Amino acid sequence: MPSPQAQKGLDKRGKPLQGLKNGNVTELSMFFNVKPGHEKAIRDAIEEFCTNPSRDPSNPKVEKAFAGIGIHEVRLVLFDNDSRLLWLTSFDTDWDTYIDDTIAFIGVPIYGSILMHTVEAPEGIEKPNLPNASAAVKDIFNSVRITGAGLLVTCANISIKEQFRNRDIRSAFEKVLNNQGAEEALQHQALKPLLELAAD
Amino acid sequence: MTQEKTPFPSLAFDEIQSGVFRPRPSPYAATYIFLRIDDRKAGRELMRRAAGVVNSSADLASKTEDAWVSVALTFEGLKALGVPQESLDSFPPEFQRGMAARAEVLHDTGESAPENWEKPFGTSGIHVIIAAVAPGKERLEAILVRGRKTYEEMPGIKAIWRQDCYALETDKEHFGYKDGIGQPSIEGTGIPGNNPNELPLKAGEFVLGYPDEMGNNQFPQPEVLGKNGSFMVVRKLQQRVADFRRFLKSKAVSIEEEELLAAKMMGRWRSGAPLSHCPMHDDPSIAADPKLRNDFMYNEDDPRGLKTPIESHIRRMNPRDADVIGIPRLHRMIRRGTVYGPSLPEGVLEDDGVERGFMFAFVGAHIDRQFEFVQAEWMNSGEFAGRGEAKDPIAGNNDGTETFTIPQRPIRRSLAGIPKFVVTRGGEYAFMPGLKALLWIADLDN
Repeated sequence: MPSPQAQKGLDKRGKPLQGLKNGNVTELSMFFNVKPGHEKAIRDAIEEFCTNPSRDPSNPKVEKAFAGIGIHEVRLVLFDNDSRLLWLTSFDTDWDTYIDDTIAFIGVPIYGSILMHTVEAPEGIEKPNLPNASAAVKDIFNSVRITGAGLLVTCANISIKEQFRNRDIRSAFEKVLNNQGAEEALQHQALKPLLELAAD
Repeated sequence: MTQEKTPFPSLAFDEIQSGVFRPRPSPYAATYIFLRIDDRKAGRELMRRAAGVVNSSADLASKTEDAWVSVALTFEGLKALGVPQESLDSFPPEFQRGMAARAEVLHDTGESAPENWEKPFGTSGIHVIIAAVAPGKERLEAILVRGRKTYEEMPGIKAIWRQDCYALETDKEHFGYKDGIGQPSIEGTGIPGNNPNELPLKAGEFVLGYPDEMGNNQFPQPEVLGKNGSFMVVRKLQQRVADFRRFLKSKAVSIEEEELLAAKMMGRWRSGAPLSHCPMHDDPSIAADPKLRNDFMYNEDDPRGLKTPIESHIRRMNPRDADVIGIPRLHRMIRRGTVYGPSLPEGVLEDDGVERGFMFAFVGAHIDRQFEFVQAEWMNSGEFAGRGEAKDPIAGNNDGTETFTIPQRPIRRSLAGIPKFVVTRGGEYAFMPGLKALLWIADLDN
C-alpha cells in the first residue's frame, strides 16, 4: 500500500500531492539519495536512459510517442559529489492524474534501472516480475517529491499536441507560399490574416 | 506499453457479485435503494441476509439468472458496521472521502455542486446501496421481494431513498440515443467484448485481488474483505431534453441535419450505428449487428476525426487507439446505466418540469484511475487530445461558452455556445464486497 504520507495525499513537506502548474504544464521534482558506491553506476544508468535510441527525441516516432504521453522534458541531476539525484520533469496537464500512464509507458524496468541505485527504492525494483512494481514506483515518486516553489514555462499554454499541430499548419503554409499562385490566392478577404504573415 | 502473455488467474466466480460482470438486460427494469444503518448488530445481520440473496457470477450464461440483486457499502457504511480501523485505512483515499468531497475533481460545480444535490446524496447517511436489475417490471418485483427481506422489519435499518428505472419504449435514453453498446472484454470471464480489435483487459481492472493492467494487485485488507470485491460509482444525472432538442434545432436547417449534428456530438447515430462505419447517413442495420456496431478503431482510419469527431462523447469515453495523452487501456470502465423518468413527448421543445435522466453506474477496481480520470481528463477537458478546454458536448460541465468542433472538409464546423445538458443530482462511491466478505462483516464481533 502507499506510504503513509502518500496515503494522506501529501508530499515530503506535507504539501498536497500535486506539482506546481504554469499554464498547462506541471512539474514533478524528486530528490533521491544515491546508494554509497553506486555513483558511477547511476551515472551510467542515467546516460543509458537518456541516450538509448528508443528514447531519442530526434526520431519522429519517439517524438510522437513522448508527445503522446505529454512529457516536455526529463532532467536528471547528480549533485553533492553524486550522492544525491534530482529528478525533474514537466508535463502537459496534471502529473498526478497521468502518473500511472507514464510509468506504464516508460516501463518499470527502465525506471528500475536508475532507481535501483537509490536508497529510496526497494530491493529488486529493477527485476521484471517484482509484484506490484508499478505501484512501488509511484509510491517512491510520491515519497520523495517536493512541490516546486516556482515554475515559469515559455509558451506554457501551448501543449505539445498543439505544438505538433502548429508545426503541421506552418509546414502547409510554407507549401502554399512556395506555390506560384500563392499571392493571387491570398488576396481573398477571408485570407487576409494569412497574407499578412506571408511577408517573412 | 508491452504486454507479456502470462496465463490469467482463475476468477472466483462464485464469490464475485453477478452485477460486476453481467451486462444490463435489454429491455430492463431496475431499482436502487439506499439504506442507513442505525444499529451495528442489525447492520451485520443485514450483511448475513444479503449474502443469501445477492447473486454471484457463478453462472453468467444462465438466462434464469438475468435478474439479480447487488449490494454495495459506502465508507460510512463500513464504519457503521464496525469494520476495524486498519481495514478502513486500507481503502483508497477517494473512496474514504466520498464523491461529494471530490466535487472539484469531478467538475461537479455550479448547478451540479453537492450543495444542490438531491438528499441524501452528499450526506453521510448512505450506508448500503441495493441495486436490483431485471428484464422487466414483473421479474424486478420478484427479486425486490427478496431484496426487501434483507432489511424490512429490522429496527436499526432504515430505507432512506429509492429510484426506479425503466427502459423507455424506444429502448433508448432520453436524448434519443441507443445506450450500453460498448463494453470491455475481460480476461478469464468468457464474456466476449464487442470490439474484436481490443485485447481483453486484465480482470484486476474490474475485480480486486487479481493483477491489473499495471501489473499491480493491491486491495483493501484483510484479504477476505477486499479480494473479489469491486468499487461502484453511482450518479443520478438529470437530462435537459428540451434544451438538447432546441440546441439541435437552432444549429440545423433540416431534420436530417439535426440528426447528423446529434450523431457528431455523440460519435454514433441515435440508432447506435457508429459514425466510423457510416459517417454521412444512419444505417440501423449496422446498429443491429452485434459484430459490427462496436468494431472500429481510430488511429489508422480516422486520425483527424473527420468521421468521429475527436471531441465527441464516445471518442472521449474510450479513445481506443487514437493519438491522445494517456493509455486508454488503463482507463476503461464497465458502465451500467439505466434511465429514470418518463419520456418527453416527441417534438416537445419546452421542459415540462418532470424529472427525467440517467442513473449512471460504474464498476471497476480503481475509482481514481478509471472513473475520476475519465470524468476529469477526458470528459471535462480537451487537453488530452490537443483540444484545449473543450468539454464533452453532451455530458460535460458546459456553461454556454464552450465550442464543439466538427472536423469536415473543406473547413471544419464549430458549434458555439454549448449549454449544460446534464446536471448531477447526486452520487456516491461504494464497495461491492465478494460474498465471503459479506459473511466476514456479518461475523464481526467488536
